[in-house]
Amino acid sequence: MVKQLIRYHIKQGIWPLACFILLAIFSYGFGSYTVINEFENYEASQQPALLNTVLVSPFFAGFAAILIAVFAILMLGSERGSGRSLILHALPFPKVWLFWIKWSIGVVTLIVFPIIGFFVSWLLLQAFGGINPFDYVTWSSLFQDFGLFLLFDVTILTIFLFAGTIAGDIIGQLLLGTFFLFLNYFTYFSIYAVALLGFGVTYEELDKPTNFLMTITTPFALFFESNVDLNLTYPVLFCFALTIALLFFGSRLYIRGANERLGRFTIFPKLHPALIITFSIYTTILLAGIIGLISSENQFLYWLAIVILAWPTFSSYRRMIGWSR
Amino acid sequence: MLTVSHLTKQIDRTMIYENASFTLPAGTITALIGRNGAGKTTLLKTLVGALEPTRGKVEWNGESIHHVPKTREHLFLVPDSVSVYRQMTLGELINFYNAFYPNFEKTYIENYCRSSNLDRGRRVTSLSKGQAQLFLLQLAFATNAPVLLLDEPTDGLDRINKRDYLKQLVSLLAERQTAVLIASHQLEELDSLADRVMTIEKHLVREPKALDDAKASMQKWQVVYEDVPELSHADLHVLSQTGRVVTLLVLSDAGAQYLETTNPLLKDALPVQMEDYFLGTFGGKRHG
Repeated sequence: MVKQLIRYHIKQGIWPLACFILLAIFSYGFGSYTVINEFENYEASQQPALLNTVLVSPFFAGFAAILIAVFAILMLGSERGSGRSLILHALPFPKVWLFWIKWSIGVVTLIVFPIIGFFVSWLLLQAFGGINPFDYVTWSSLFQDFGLFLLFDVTILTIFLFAGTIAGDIIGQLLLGTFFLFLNYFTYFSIYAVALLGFGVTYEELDKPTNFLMTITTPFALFFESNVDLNLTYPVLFCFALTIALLFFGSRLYIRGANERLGRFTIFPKLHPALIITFSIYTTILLAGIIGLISSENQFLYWLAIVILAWPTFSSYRRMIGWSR
Repeated sequence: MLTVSHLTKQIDRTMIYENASFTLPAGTITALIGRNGAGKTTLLKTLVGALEPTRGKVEWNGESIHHVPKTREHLFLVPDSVSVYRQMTLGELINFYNAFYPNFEKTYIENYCRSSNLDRGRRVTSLSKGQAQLFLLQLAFATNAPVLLLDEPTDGLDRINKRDYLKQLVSLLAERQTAVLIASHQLEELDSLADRVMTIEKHLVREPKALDDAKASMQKWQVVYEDVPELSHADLHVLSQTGRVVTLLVLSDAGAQYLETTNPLLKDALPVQMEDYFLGTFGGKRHG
């Protein structure tokens, strides 16, 4: 039964999964060749870091984040939009299995490809370049990078799957997933826009209390800061806790999803007013922020832009999402 | 046996249907009829567990279809469109359902594919409407589910496919004690097929009646007048008028008494068909 469900889901998400193969070939195969050709041109101090990025590719991890988000959208948004979930939910097994199968396929993909890529790279380096990577790198540094990249990608998968449990179609899942993923950045820039442009607060006053938004409460900290010697304990804990929390709520929301509302922006219409207001506030503040910057940080023009933009933004979202449907 | 009690479905404060209470005994064919948008498909989807009811319950031998997933192996819904099986080949669909229905007869459906020259590697959506519906019916039978729910099964089929479909349905039902609920607008077919009829009218799901009893609840007359009078009674439904000859449905004793007062020259009883029952039930009040 589970085998058939796995097969069914792989087929539904075959395109992003097939793209993973291409991505792995580019990241690990071509990456190894480039290093073999250029290895001697690098300084000895740079060689370990270079080999590290070949054996555990950040290029793969970065593009895998996009592919895994697409995979999550095909798993849930597309399934709901096409009405396939009606057939699946009528089958004799607990609905929650479907959520876990989707997540598990994503996680297994994110684990298996880098592992295969690692061994392929090792083999290529050894066989064609005569380079034994373990003369330069340690298992612990590889494990650390692998763990960070895996957590980065799994967090993004979970965010998009969670968004899919609320959304009623592809568009809803794409927008909600993107909003949740970049929520820290939107919040950070909104605070700066209002405080700097609206109230004339200085950058120095804002930096310390808001810094955590950029360095801790985002999966991107794991990706961009992994090669910088920074303490990643808090971002790791944040992503871990976020993944657990979203899995917990996502698996519950998935089984409570109302199939009769498929095809709408979300399947929980009671959420719509809150979403419309939240999206409107962020959009208005950020758009007005751009106008504020263009107008040489003029405080009056910033607030005027807020007043002018508020209603069109609100009514656009209301039209797109629907206040109560 | 499938038992439905006080089943009610509301979507966004709109009542779709309410208070559906009925059973589907083995070996019976129940026709579900109602106007477009009456909630027939929604009712079928709720029965099979794809939609959650707002109130009420659907039970298989006392266990809830919605809360005990295993009970859903006793039901199979044939949807009105194969688009939900997009990307799946016939072979994949067979293997898929084989995994979920413990009594699935794989040989049976494979034999059907062979005898109908259906390549198992073909996509379900590449079949013609008739081929797809016949295949889904056979697939439904292969599951051996004791309750089959068919949503507009012959909609869009040509005469020959329709005849084949009904022939297969009847012959297979004769072999097994399957309970079938058919939601359809093809009233002529239902007339020759169904044992019972159930209506959804103004959101209310009426308890199934034996088809003969349902038809007996109204009379169909062909009457001839010297001058056709204004026939205005709530329980009288004019089906057609050709010159002085009027064909009408009488829905109650009061309607019958009213008809007598119109002094027809000639009055001839006609057999009530399913279509008449439909018109009498859903369109009869328009002349009130």
